[in-house]
Amino acid sequence: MKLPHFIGGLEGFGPAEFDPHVFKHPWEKRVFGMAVALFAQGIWTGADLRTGIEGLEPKDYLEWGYYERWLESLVSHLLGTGILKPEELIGHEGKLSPLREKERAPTEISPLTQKIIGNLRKGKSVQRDRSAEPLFREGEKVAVRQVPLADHTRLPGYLRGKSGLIEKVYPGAYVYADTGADGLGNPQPVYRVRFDSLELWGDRGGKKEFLLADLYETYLEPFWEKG
Amino acid sequence: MSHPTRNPLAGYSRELQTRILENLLLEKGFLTPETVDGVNRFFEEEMNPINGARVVARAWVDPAFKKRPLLDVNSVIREIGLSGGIEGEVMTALENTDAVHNVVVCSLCSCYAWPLLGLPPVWYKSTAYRARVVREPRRVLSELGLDLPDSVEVRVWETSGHVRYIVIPKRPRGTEGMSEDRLASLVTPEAMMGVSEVKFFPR
Repeated sequence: MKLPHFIGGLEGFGPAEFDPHVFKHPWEKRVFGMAVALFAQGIWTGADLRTGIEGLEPKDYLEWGYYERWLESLVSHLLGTGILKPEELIGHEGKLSPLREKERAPTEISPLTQKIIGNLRKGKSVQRDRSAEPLFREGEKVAVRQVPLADHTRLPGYLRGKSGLIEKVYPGAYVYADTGADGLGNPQPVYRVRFDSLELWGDRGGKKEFLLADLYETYLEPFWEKG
Repeated sequence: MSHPTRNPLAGYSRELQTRILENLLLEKGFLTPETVDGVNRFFEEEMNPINGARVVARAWVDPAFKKRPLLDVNSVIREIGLSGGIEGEVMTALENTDAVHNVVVCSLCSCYAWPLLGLPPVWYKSTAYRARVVREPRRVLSELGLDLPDSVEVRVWETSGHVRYIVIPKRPRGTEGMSEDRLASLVTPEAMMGVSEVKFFPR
């Protein structure tokens, strides 16, 4: 079990911190820019980023800031794929220029940067044609499977074993890149499933409260009344 | 099971780690010197919450338009000169009313409708918000300054699939006859995630 898969519902946190900024430090913005520039070149994917973050030690995951996790995941991916070698990372301190605060004029944008921005503007569709009919229909009651634990998942842990109603069957099928252990990877239907708070949390839930999650078909099974 | 590769830069400040990494990626040709600034400028200019605010304002003044983004945001935003893009390939709008209040979260990471809302703020990415809003949304909203009557149904949207969400908040009273641009200027990212309402204080 990985802590990041089970954040939803975890108790003991204080009041929600209301900080409207996107970045806390200038280096975080550079990590974001680098990470996204590498997404747009196909060097890595959002799934790779999240796999790295979800693989952190629980203590680090909770203590570190959001972009510290990104930086750690990025370094881990570049080393893991051999794009960078550990020895290349050390011994560079001497020849570094200070963080550039002043941005360059847009006229200086290189062909590489233009290509990156073009890809970001286009986005990357994850919708594919369906190869089979969806297993479930709108209005049907379903249960969330106890799928095998994986390095990376799109199943929030608190939904495991719970039942809900299919509110919507999205058209087509959807891929979620580069995972496998918990069944993702092949194009499959996605459903909007509606859960009652009292089903999810019992007495610790609330009345007239519902949770709607978009779930891949592999996470669902037919609901059978117990007994 | 894979284990993350140990970071050889552990022990350096995060700022220094970032500079070393950017330098190496430059040397290897994955970046040019202005790439990072260019990418960040693209996000500031084109993936800005004013885009979402324009969708909200249009929905407020045009009921026929409003019905459509509730189904498919991507097909209607072209009419106001906007498009999707990374993390906004499929977007859906959710309408807040006197009877139903929608609030958005991603408990697994930080999924968010970048093209309409910009990049997610610190609070949206915080572990506390992600852990708590899925279980006790009324309490979290109350802490953030939004008290909902018990009669209001609360829907928490877990961004766990391919869809990214934008909330169309309730139009504040006293804004009848206001221009679309003026209306858009009242709409905050927080209102478009469902953690606050749009406020208008006439002078």
